[in-house]
Amino acid sequence: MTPRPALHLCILAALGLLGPPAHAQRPVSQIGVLDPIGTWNCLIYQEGVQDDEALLLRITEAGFAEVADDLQAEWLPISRWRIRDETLSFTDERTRRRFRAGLRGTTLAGLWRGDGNGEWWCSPLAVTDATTVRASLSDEYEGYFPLPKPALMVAPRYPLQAIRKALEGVVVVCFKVDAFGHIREPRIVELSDPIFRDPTLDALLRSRYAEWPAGRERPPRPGCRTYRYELTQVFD
Amino acid sequence: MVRLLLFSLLLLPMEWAWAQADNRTIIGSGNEYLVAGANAIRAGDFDNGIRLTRRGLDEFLPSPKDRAAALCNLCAAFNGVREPQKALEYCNESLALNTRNWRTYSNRAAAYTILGMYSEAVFDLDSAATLNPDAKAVLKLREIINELSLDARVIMEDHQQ
Repeated sequence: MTPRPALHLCILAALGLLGPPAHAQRPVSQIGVLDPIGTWNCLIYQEGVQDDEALLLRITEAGFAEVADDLQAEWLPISRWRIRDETLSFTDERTRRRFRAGLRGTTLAGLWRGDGNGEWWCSPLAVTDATTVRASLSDEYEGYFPLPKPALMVAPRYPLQAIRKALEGVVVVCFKVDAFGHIREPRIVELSDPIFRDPTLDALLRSRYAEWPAGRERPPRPGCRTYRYELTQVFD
Repeated sequence: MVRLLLFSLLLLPMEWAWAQADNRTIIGSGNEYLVAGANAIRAGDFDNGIRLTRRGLDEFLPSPKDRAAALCNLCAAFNGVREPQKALEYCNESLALNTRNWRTYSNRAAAYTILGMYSEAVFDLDSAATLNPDAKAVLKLREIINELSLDARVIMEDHQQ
């Protein structure tokens, strides 16, 4: 169906549902309906795939969804967008992924389907030039980029006492990664049982990420790692 | 290490353990072979324990309850000499006479554990725990079975905050 963004926007505006445009950095209106028009810094998660994808997304008033995924790239229209039942939808014609996002949330986020499926989540940006966006991201928005690729993932030892007691658990640790790939400032944000604390931190601090490309000053990147301690019966 | 722990878990019916310390006990009185056999097994002298207990069973006519206890001792002793099949036979025979002795279930669980039959061992441990939930020997054997039968793995996943 051909999107009619202007009409939708007019209706929303007439109903007083639209907040100010995104370039005013206020994507959420007073009554909670999100105005998607603007530039967004997005992360795309795919089920079963460890690495996330970073994407710059622009929803234009002219009715196009555009992306810029390269430092020097121009905005590339990927499809027209539409809003129905307070849900934004568009398709990335390059990957055949169909994106949907409810506009009742606090930011632009939703599900996608195509060759695989997953979720996507965006934070608003105030700029519209891709190069400028990338430059601005090096500071305050650096954290939304995917972590560097792990260079060495050390698996923790499963505590023997936990095995004897048939104890499973989950530990989530968040940390920063410096430009050399070293893990800094780990802090445990979820710990199902204290027995898993030491082996988790021990393994994490012996892990490494790939170094970042040199060339300019790089602040640490935040990230998290979840450890799931699982037991399965080997008999029957 | 696990083998050592299994040996340390050989369980004798409490009646026989008390027989020496408390002369007032009726069970086992008049059948010194059974008492001596129980003590030998407790001391780790399994061969003599088996010989004495068998003689006590053959030459005297113990009550069904005493017989069940003696058979439970033989089950423990054959676990000690690493003959779990024979241990199973004696435990089964003992349970046919007395189904309320948690030690017999626990000894049979130990035999199953030696044989690698962990699901059967867990089933018997549950029975033992039902009869005596606080038995430390049952808890310890369950830990050993967990260590032998559980496959441990840690799944790691990176993500944003």
